[in-house]
Amino acid sequence: MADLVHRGGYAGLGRRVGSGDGVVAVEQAGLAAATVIARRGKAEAAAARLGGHLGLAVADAAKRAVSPAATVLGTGPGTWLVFGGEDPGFVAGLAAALAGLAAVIDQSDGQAVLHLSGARLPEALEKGVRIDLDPARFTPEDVAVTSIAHIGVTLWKIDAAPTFAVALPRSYAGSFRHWLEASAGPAGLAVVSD
Amino acid sequence: MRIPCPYCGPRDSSEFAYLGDAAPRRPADGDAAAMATYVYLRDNPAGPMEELWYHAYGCRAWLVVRRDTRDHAVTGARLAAGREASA
Ligand SMILES: [Zn+2]
Repeated sequence: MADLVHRGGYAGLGRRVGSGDGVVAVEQAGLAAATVIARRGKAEAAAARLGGHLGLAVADAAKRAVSPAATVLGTGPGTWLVFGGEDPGFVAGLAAALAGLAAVIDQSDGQAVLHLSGARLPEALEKGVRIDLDPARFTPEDVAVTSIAHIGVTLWKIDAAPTFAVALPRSYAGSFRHWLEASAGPAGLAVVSD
Repeated sequence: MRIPCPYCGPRDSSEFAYLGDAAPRRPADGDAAAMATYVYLRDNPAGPMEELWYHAYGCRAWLVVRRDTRDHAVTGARLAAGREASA
């Protein structure tokens, strides 16, 4: 049987390295990902079980919980987007741990993830994000599901540098990159994918 | 217009899809007159009313939003889920 290779959503769009003086975008390929959707009335129990399984404190809120092995993002009431590393059993482990409490859907080939950083990132994000990203209002504990250029995205903050991460359905990766190049290109954008 | 989503926080109305009056409740099957009222008849108040909005570009939850139809002032929003139980 052929081994399947994970191809990130930005793969094949070409590595484009500009100056990177303003913004650097780095694709995060090969991550395991899943949506976890609690069954009716089971949101609190699912949050507790999810947290117990991953060794994290998981809330039913638009918050991030992170460990070296996993990132849990609150994306809606009783709903989380969970990223793991390259462990091929990560999603199956989640599904087994949450049996009876939540539906677990493998999104490893569904979500395209970029890490964004750089001195001029805030002004680039201002061109597409309609929520308040002031450091006092949006911290590394927060998660936002919102839209950028009409593309539904999950946005979170990895550190106070700031480094942001943005996940979106992989079929929109090309459109998102178009927005990114238009919005951050003049500031000096380097895109590292592939 | 900004809508204070209880899960996401304040968001631009463009992230939402509008359904309409939150008051009508589906009647029991078999009552044709009540069903016609439920489907077709709406009050049209000038002032505050509760409406259903769907946070499509956000948490994907249905909200009950209290909006003044005269000036679009939004004075509250809560998750629609469970409203039957709490009503
Ligand atoms: Zn919301």
